[in-house]
Amino acid sequence: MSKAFGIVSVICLGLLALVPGRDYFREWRKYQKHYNEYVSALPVKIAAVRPGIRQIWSQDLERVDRCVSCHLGLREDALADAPQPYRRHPRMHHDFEEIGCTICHDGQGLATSFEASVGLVEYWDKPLLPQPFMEAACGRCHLEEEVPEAPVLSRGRQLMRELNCAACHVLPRLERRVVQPLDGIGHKVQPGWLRRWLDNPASQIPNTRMPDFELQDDEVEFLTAFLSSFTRFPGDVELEPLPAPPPGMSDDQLVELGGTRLREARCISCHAFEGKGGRVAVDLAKIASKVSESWLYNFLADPQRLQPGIEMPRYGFTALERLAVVRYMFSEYVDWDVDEAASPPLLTAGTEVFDRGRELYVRYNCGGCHRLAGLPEGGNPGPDLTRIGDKKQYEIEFGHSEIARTLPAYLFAKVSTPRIFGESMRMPVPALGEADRVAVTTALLGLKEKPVPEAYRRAGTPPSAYDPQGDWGRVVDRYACLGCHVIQGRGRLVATDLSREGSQVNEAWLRRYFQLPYTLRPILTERMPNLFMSDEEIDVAVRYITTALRDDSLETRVAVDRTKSAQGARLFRDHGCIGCHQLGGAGGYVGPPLDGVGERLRPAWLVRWLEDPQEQMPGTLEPDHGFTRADAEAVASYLMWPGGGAP
Amino acid sequence: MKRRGAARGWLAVLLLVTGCGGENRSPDAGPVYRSVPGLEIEPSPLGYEARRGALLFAKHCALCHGQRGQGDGFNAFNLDPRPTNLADPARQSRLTPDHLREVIREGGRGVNLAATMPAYGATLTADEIEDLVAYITQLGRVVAAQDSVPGP
Repeated sequence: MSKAFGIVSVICLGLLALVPGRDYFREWRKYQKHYNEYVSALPVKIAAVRPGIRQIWSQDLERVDRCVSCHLGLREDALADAPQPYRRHPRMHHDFEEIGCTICHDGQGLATSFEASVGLVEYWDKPLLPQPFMEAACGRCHLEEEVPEAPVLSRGRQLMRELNCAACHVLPRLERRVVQPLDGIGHKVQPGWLRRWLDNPASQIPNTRMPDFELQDDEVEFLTAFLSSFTRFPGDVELEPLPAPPPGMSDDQLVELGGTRLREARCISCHAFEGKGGRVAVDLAKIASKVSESWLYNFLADPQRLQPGIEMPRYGFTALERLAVVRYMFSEYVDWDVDEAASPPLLTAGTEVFDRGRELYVRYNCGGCHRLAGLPEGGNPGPDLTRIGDKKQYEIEFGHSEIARTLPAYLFAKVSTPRIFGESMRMPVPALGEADRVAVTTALLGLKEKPVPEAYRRAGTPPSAYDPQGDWGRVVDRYACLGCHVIQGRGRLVATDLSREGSQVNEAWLRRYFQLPYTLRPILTERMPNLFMSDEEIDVAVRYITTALRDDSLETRVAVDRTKSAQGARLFRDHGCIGCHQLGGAGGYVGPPLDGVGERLRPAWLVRWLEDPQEQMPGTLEPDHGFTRADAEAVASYLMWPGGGAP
Repeated sequence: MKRRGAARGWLAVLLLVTGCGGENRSPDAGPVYRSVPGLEIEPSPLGYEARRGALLFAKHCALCHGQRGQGDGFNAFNLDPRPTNLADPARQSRLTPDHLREVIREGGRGVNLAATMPAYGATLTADEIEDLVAYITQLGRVVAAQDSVPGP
């Protein structure tokens, strides 16, 4: 009996020793011991750590992170090149002792062993965020589209807006955008082009936003025939016929006139031609194979009549000039690889075409982006993506695909090849390179279920309420100024911000510029086109800019005069300004040329610019030279009077 | 006596068994979490600071010093002397972090080189200059590695 008792008590003792024994021989203890040995051997004095679990407890974020039990050198500058897990954390804007680790890195914060913390264990489906998608974590708190120092996330969000993902999916802070209506498409485009377009949009317009729906051939035929039957433009607008050319003019002369006008108007500022030119509008290299001649003629006459709200300015061409431009474009910008004669004829419009066409239109949710009379707008969307970044692994339908069973892999594959998850999928394939697909995946991974506390969120600036009215408003609408300029927060910043232009430039120069624009920075591709504005319109624009778009703080008195030119010349030389600016026939091409700059810029603005460029134009390349007011006045004097004067 | 010895023996065995529990993982256990398993995306070889530096370089420096720092930027051909080739392996011993920091902060004039290199001490913060230095010191290695790969 006592023998049994003895054995059982030994076993109990053994079991009692088991638990603290196992706890003593933990992985993290090894790391801590190794760390102490490692830092004691270094020439720099680094404090040793006392053995024990270390953790960061963030009460606001409701997280406990024990990564610091093994990652012991996060604050030590001397350990910048130490082996992991002892390496210093890269410098960043956030304090990890406040927010913890897993808020940015994901993984299992409560774990104390390597595999469990990385998350490659059963039942934990939020493993450490892979490095290509790291910026998704920034997206948790930084809700604006453009997040500073998170270029991948910003690009992803920009792409999601441009590609109109909200047309089919519910997404936070993104509204569905509706593009130009498809009514009249039958009279706008040539059916052969429409067929090629529906088959693969990117083959017709390289940087298009329309994704590829991977339609079957018969689906393409039905949809082409269906869409081509819509020949009435919105608002019942009729296409005016092309005028007859004047009797004395040969076709060659007409084409030549058109080419000249096209070059003068500098369409290349916004439209690229086979990739060369501006990126603001579509590539025109093959436009003659896309649109009909009469449509183009009418469009050039008044873009807003056929496509309300489009940002193309209305050029002041005469009817003859317009005809000439159209003839020129139709002789030059043809898709020579296409053989129109070889393409099959359109299916005759009948019940089958209408039924199948409508069915396809609804099935692929074309109404999400497009408007077409009599057809539903949206209404057949895809899944709600508001919390896609927190989708549980067991909820994901991997189908027969061969990808890794993690959420980032799933999202990346969805954006790249959505159809691998099943044949009945409808999601189209956006035409994106790998970097852009990584960006979109990053943006999606940032859409989490639980929002962070209010104090942690950064929402960005609210949209601008600037809405030009009256004569000025009409000029802005007609010439689409806000398509390239920003005024008081509204517009697109392709060119400059004009909010303070009245205090920046001289009135006489501004007037001449509207009459004949020229480029101020030769290295830029986009240039102001020659809009052929009327004198009255120029008057309205100049008066508005010089009266309303001013900033009183920029109009202080400055002391610029000839006597300071010599001192200014010395400063100009000493600070190497000639490296980026042209002056007197020599210099660099980064900034605008400075010859005759006094004609364009007002002295007060120039002095303020030299004192602090970043304040006048945030994000400018001009370095802050540390000029005092006196220095800035001297340099401004030199620039305005480079010939100088006797001191 | 034999019973007590047996008990001690069992105890020793038990303690030994519990001791052999911890995993023997070495530090730096491989880049299993640097890229998505099963995907071909290559994570950037640069550290976080160097990646920030790369963005700053592309914005402020690449116009003169070139996209890869080889002194062949858009504006390089207008300048005399030409901007430094920062990736030149022959120069790496001179382009120490301290020297780079000083040139960026004080400009060319501050280190007795051409004044066409502007001083960025007032435009960039100290952290941004550190990031740039972290990136530029990598440039020599990146370019050397790319050039050493035998061509097709």
